[in-house]
This record gives sequence, C-alpha cells and structure tokens, in this order.
Amino acid sequence: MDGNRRFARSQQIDKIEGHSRGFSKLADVLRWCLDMGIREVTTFAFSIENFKRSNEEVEGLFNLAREKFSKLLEETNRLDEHGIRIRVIGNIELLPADLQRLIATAMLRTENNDKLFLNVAFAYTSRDEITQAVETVMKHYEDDDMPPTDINERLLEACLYTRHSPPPDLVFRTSGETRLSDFMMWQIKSSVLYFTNVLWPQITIWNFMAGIVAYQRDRRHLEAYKRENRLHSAQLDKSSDFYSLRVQRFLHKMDANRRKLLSTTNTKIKGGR
Amino acid sequence: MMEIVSILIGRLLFILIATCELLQQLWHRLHALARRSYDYWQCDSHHHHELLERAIELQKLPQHLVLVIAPDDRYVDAALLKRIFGYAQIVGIPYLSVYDTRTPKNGYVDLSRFCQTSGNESRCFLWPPSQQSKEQRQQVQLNGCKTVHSNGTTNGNASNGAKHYAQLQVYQIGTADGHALIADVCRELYENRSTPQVQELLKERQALTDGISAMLSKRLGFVVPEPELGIIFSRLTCIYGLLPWHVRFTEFHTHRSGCYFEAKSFAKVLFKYARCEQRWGK
Repeated sequence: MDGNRRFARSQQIDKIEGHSRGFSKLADVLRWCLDMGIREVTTFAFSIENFKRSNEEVEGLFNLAREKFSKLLEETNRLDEHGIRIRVIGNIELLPADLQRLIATAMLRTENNDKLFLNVAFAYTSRDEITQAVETVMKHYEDDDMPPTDINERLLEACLYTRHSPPPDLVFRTSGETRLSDFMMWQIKSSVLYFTNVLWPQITIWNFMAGIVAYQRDRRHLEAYKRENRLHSAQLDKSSDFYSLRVQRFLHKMDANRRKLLSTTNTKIKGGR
Repeated sequence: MMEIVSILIGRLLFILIATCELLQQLWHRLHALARRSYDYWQCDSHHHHELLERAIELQKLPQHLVLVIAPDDRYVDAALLKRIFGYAQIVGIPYLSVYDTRTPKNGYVDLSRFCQTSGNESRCFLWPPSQQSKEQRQQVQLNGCKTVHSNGTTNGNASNGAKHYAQLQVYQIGTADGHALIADVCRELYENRSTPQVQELLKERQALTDGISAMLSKRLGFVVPEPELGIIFSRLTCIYGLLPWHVRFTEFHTHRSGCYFEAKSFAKVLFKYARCEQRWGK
C-alpha cells in the first residue's frame, strides 16, 4: 500500500489525510478481492522501519489504526456473517498498550471465522519475523529436549507469524517501487511480483484487474518450480519427522502460548483501567 | 446463461493474451538474432563503452549487483554472463552475485569454468582470471593508458583510449544459501545454546538479529554489502527464493527471457536504479 504520502503531496493535503484515503482504498480493494473470490489478503500497514518517521506522523498512524480497529470491533456481527478472520502479524509489543489491546480483541473476537482471512502486517519486518522464529525455537524447543536434527527450514516456516496461511500467490506493490522492503521475504519465494506505478490511494479496479491478469498469465510458468518446492518440502518433512508427535506437540504449545499472550494483553490492560 | 458467456469471454481473453505473448516472444527472438548479427559484424564495442561510461557518471551506482536466472530460462549462457561481467567492470560495480536456479541439464552455468577462484571459498571468484587481467595490464603498459579503479575513478591519460579495469568479485549463490542456510544457523545456535555468547544474543531480539546476520555472512563468505540491484532473467518477476535475509531492500528489474541483453539494456537498468529513491522506512 505504497504512495499515500506522495498522493497527499500531489493533492496538497495533510500526510495523515493521505493515509486515511489509503485506508479507504484498502476497504475498496478488499471488496474487489471478495467479489473475485480471493480468500486471503495480507496487507503491509506499518513497518518497524516506519518508527523512524516523525513522532507526529507515527502517532497519527496509530490514531488512524485505533479508529479503524475500534470501528471493526463495532461491526463484528458483519465480520461473523461473512466469516472474516482478522490476524495481525508483527511485533505488536512495540505498539502502544491500548492499540495492542484493540488488536488482541479483534483477533480473539474473530478467531473462529474461517471463510476469509485478512492479515494486517503491523510493526512488521521479515527479518524480525525470522528472528522471532529462531528465538521461539531456541527458547522453547529445549523444554522437551528435542534433537537438533528436527530443526530445518520446514520447522522455522511453521514458527513464522504466517504459520496458518499458505504462501502468497501474488504480491501487488503500488507507487512504482520495485523492491520488497522486508515484506514476507521467506514466504514469497514462488510468488508472482507485480509492480505498478499508480499510487495506492489512486488505484482503480482496472489497475487491480491488470495485476490479477498478470498473475493468471504468469502462474503457469511457475507451476514446475512450485511442484519442485512441494516435493522438496515433503522430503524435508519425512527426513526430519516434522509430523512426529514431539514436533507437533511443540508447535501446538507455541500456538497455545501465542493465544495466551493475546488473552493476557486483552485482559491485563482492561483490568488495569 | 450469463455465466457461460462470462466464461467464454474469459477464455477468449486468455487465448488473445497467449497469442500476443507468443508473437511478442517471436519478435524478441528475431530482434535478438538481428542485434547479435549486427554486433558481430559491426564490432560496435566502442559505442557500448561510451554508453557505459556515461553510466559511470551517475550519482548513484550499486556496489553489489545480483543476477537471478529463472529455472526455465534458456537464454542466459556463459557468453552473456561474461558480457554482463564486462559491463559491470567498466561501470565500476565491484561485487556481483549470480543466482542460477537451473540444473546442469537446463543450462546452469558453472562460474569456475571461466572465473578465477578467490581464496579458499568455492563460491567466490574473480573475473577476469588473472592471466587475462595480466594481459590487459601489459597492453596498458605498452600503450600508456588510463587505469580505471573499481570505484570508477581514473588516473593518467589515455593515448589510444584502451583502459584497464580492476577485477570483479563474483559470487555464485545456490538454492541452499537461502532458507536452508538460515535453518542451519538456527541449528548451530541451538546446539550452542548453553554458551554465554548465545545466551547474550537471546537477551534482546536486535542482538539475535545481528548475530544471525554475522553468522550468515560468515557461512556465505560474503564480506560485501547486501545486493542493491537485482536483474531477474525470467518471463515473470519472481525472486525464486533468493537470499531472503539479504535482499529486503534490493531494487529488482526484470529482463524478459528471450530479449537481447546488451550494453544499452544494462545502462537502462542503471539509469532506472539511479532515479529510484530509497526512503529506508522514513
């Protein structure tokens, strides 16, 4: 979702207003995705690198996030009706406490929905995500005295924030930049990358459909590569006993810990008021 | 009824797009044949050098360039790689990596066949090999020519325009250097988890990130900056698992498989790179 500030400059409006228009555009794009049958969307809302921006802008972005998450929580009936699950991926402990609570509430409130998935990358970088996965293995794997041979790329992948999501098929970046900016670097090894010059708040359904057509044209060239990756993954699973009871117990414990952390965030801050 | 019509329109659209693609591919191959023949007969290296020397004057040049070759690419061969190495050498890019995802049966280029091994690392090479480099220097000494250093600066005066360029440091990256290497580093950390050094890394996430970076650089033999510019030789834009830790801020440019790659193409990529603005999150 790149280009909000450049759009704001071109329209001579405030940067935060640019971000707000960007959020409205996100709502439009999600509707297009729903109409097209795209079941899962991950959006890069705020990078850990963005903390380097001015305090005013960062606080403005957080206020926008507070407003939007609060509004989402008012509309949970609609979310449940469509079966939409909200997941926020990133190091949310870096965020203000009240925003953490809103995020935790939104995630817990929609955790039983399983038709459509909206993943919001907030306080996220891929390096931080991979480091978090390594940290999880280092700190919790030894509890059950696991052999080091269990540790491979398959296990690390299962420890990422996107553990329950398939890898993205298409990465759509606006504003003409042709870099990935530390977004899902592990997960996008076989994704089609589509870069367009249009600024995010100015994107139209035609720009969006051009990206979809580009994906449909290009995906057949990736079939063989994806098939090889799947075979390699299956071989890794077999050689490292990925589906053994001990590994699955470790992953299940990790999921339970993450959920417990969300619940604690939700109740601790509520209780502290 | 509407559904059937929509499906038919969709199918027709795809047939149209596939036909356009095929015609485009044919055009690119004919164009490549024509350009190659022209270059062969005209030997227009002087014009190419002029284009590239204009690129030297750019305010922003990458220090490290990575070439990504798709698994189904059939056009990137040793000759093309040598040409690209030559262009990078002229412009003054000191480091270049090659990530060839093909198998030996499908055109994989082994750099050790035409590059000189550097030190003990099997993945680090120097180009051109020192014999060729020595011949270049001897020619320079005979003719009294300029010396161009790897950062693009020059000294001395040329008498006949022939130049001497510093050797390029080339790395050959494989698929095992991406996700699998990060997992290896994790395993090594786990095996040494009770040591004070690793315990220190676990106290703070940033320390662990820096530790992982250092271990990956050591295993890769990379004592170079992260790649700033990447050229993908493929029919589509995909990174094919290239170094997920290192290419987070790399600018990617796709050179469509089958299109002729010449000095002009290389210069265009550099000019585009010079224009892009890296904000580093700010």
